[in-house]
Amino acid sequence: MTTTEEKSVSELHGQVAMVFDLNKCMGCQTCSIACKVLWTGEEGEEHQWWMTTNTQPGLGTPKGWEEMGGGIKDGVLQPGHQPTRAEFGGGWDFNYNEVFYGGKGREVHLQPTDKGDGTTRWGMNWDEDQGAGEYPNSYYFYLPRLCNHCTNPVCVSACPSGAMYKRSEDGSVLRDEEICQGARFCMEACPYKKIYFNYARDVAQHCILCFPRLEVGVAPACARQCPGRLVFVGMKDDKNSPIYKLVNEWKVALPLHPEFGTEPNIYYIPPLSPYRLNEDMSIDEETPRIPPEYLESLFGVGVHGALDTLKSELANVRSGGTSELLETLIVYKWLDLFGPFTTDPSSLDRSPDSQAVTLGPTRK
Amino acid sequence: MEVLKGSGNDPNDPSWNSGAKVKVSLAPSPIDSQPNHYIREAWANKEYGTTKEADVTLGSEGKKFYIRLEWSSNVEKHAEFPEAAAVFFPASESPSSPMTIGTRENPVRMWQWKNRLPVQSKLPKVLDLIATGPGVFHPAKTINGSNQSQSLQGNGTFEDGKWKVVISGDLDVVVGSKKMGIAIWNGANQERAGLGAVSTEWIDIDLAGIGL
Ligand code: SF4
Ligand code: SF4
Repeated sequence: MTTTEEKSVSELHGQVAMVFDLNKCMGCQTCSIACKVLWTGEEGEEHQWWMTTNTQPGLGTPKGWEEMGGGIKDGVLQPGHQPTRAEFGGGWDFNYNEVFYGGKGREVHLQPTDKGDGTTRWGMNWDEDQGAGEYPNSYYFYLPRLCNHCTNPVCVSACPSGAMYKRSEDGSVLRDEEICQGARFCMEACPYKKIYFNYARDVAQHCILCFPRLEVGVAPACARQCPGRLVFVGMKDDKNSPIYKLVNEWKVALPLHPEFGTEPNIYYIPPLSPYRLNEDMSIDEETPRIPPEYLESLFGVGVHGALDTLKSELANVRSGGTSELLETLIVYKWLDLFGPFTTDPSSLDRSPDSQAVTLGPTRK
Repeated sequence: MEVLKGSGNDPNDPSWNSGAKVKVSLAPSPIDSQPNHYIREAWANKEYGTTKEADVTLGSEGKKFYIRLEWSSNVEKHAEFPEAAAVFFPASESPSSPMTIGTRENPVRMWQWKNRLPVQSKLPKVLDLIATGPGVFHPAKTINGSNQSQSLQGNGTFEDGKWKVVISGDLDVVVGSKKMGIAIWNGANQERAGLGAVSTEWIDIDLAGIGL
């Protein structure tokens, strides 16, 4: 594969944004696994999933996160709940010894070891594929989530020690783990509940927007590994980028819970849905299966216009017309997704004395 | 207060009994001094700094200075936030009150003990910090720009509703300051950062007993 327009870190400046097209997400969790394998494999990180994909409607991760407070309203930071280890769940140990070496292979089955702390009663995809509605009108869709690297990062505002900051190269919101004192106000303040606590190291941790990859022109792992080819990456203010057009011109890409007030830089194309079926199995062409008010509760009032635009563009193409918007969303060429971050990581010199090392979480 | 010659890192060592034990009153670090809007809003109507007093005994041996702190606590041993205690030393130009744990203009050197979880066995029990306000704590080494030579130690025991903790570090720091403040965080009440109970007055350290 060739690399095009590689960006070096010295050229980086601005806000990196991402758009997830929910109409293409199949809930495979490849993004979650890509992130897990790359960043959270050490002691204290077992329960951390900086990237998760949840089924909506659902309680998600941590359990019931949308009701946990935080964010900012009328300029006032809102108190929030610090998600507990049990609300995140996961990070389990299994009874391998008992099953494989204890001579009980026929009586006991492999299961997470219950330590009495509630962590075996929830997990990052616990309510996967449950959804809502009654057959034949049941419905669900997938919502991949990561830190939104917000323009107004309340996590940074809430940190007493000044360990957190938003850097100018790529707009990533980072934490200097040398300075973090484990006070966890960031976890309370973040309304998306996307910060985890590392008990082994007494520091909070969250998605770093794959900044070491961005610095050498490589797209974040969740985006690059997604088999659905649905994650756009680019500089938010680059008027020629699909991101800019999807967000600002076509207005079909929306932030999640805009009312939280933090101005996310991760956007979503909302899901279209089939029409409802009547009792006699005829189609009710007036009513989409996913209730529009539910989508409005997630993506704000802009969701109705976004869905109307998508529907009219689809109708246009079905009747023989063309649509730049749909052409963009189809993504004929995989690398078109990644803006200036198209470098193939396998093409990098990753020997120990390579110069292709990163800035590290520098404060600029 | 006087400094005992001797003692050591074991808070239950009988030699501590020969030292002068002083009761120190504590009060919550002021809400208005908390470092950011979030903490001031979220804790405006919540009780914190709930430890009312602590007993302090001081000792010294060689180049080391030992502080034993004792306080009552209703804690289950490992809450979400750890029980913690600190002593802090102002530079000679000390601010008028210890209640803010330093200010931007008058930083204090702080030695903070945390009741570590079993999974935190690799972490130091006592942190060497520079504090410039309640909760505005930075590792001393990130400010000094080098790994400084401090070897801080600490030990805590919890028995019959009472914590006994020894924190120890370099005598030099104390000789330079001759004043000390203390802070206690009731972990079970989610006290951490600037939400602790702090000594309301500076404690004057009389080094004459150890010939200084
Ligand atoms: S999503 Fe949460 S952690 Fe990420 S920048 Fe926004 S407020 Fe901070
Ligand atoms: S890898 Fe892509 S398709 Fe799979 S869950 Fe993640 S975003 Fe959805």
